[in-house]
Amino acid sequence: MSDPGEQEVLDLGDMDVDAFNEYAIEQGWSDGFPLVPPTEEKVARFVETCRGDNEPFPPMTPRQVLPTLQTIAANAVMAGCKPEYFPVVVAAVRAILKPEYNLHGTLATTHPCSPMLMVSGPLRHELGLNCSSNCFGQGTRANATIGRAVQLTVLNVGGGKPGTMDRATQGSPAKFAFCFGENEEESPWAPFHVRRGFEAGDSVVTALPTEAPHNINDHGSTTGLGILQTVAGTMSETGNNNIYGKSPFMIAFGPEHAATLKRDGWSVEAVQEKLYELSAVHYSRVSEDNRKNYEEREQFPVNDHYYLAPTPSAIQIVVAGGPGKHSAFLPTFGFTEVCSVRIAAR
Amino acid sequence: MKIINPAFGLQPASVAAAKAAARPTDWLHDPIAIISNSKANAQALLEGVRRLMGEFRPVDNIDYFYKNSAAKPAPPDLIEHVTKNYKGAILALAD
Repeated sequence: MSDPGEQEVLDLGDMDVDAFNEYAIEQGWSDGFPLVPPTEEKVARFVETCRGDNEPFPPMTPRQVLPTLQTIAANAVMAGCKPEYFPVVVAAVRAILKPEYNLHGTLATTHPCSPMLMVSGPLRHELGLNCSSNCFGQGTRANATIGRAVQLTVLNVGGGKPGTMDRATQGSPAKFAFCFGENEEESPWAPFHVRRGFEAGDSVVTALPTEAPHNINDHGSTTGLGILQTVAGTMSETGNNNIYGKSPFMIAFGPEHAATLKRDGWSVEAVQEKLYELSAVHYSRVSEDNRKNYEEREQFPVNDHYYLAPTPSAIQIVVAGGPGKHSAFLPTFGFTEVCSVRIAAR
Repeated sequence: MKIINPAFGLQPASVAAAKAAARPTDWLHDPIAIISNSKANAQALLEGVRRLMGEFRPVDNIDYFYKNSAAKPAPPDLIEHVTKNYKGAILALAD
């Protein structure tokens, strides 16, 4: 099922894989790692997994061209995806193209945000997505290549080239790939996608432009309140974008911290309220010059504090990871919203 | 080896039509829009550009616009106004 108008075939002659990779680097198609050549046959197999998905894509910023399934598939092939991952990649691209995600801002900013992709629902296990130990790290093909495919699509279709249209001052390792599965099985709360109104049997990808995860170590607290004090203390940073770019951000509790919160009866809403209050930054910790900077952005202290989120419910609570007394703070660029898209059934 | 171009994208119809109808901008006489992302250094730079262009242009038809947020794209109505009324636009990205 290949519409010639939806793709462009390039004849590269007798190139082998090594030569293709040199060529791809010259074209600006690479993230620095080797790529799999997106041959017609491979791309067609990927597109086949999305048969019937005729919903057009909006223009992708900053190049403002319309992606096609074939072009996204070419990037997914290059990233090393299996064909069965492709519906997740497509749903993720749709998520970051929602206006409220603000893809343009996330590329134009000097902040080191990248598309964080979290998959919820039954497809996590079908695809072998890692939701447990080292889920933010290396070692799992689905996590690594789905995240990479979306980044390559932003690079090649959107034109988000580092240093030109991706203006991050320092960037982040998360810009190579950042995709993981929610650890629903060890979460004391309803799955994230169900809390957002999807059916439990749906599989959903959620996108949020976050920094790389910031570890929160608490081996000492034996109560839910103690853990929340440590989490809030780690969030309460003076150089955090969310002080003035008020928008949602995420806390990913490790399962052991989550189990303690469950034992002590903490609901999602109670956790959000407590973190909202405890993480507020006292104005005296912020330099005078930076306070002026925030005031110019119409961000003023409330009760002598800068609150990190617009409301407690903007703090996104999930469970991810494996054994160990660690959780993670994922600050965002700001000026964004959580974007969740149901993954089309295969 | 034949591959699918990973950088291929379709041109929105409105953009294609605008490109087809466009003629080169006459930077000396055509109306020009200067658009600031509202960051202080960008404004300083653009105000300097406007002043310098005013010294050699025979017509006074450069207008200044601000985005309401440096962190978000320009609003669609601003883009529409500029594309309808100006032949060129100058932007600055300065932090």
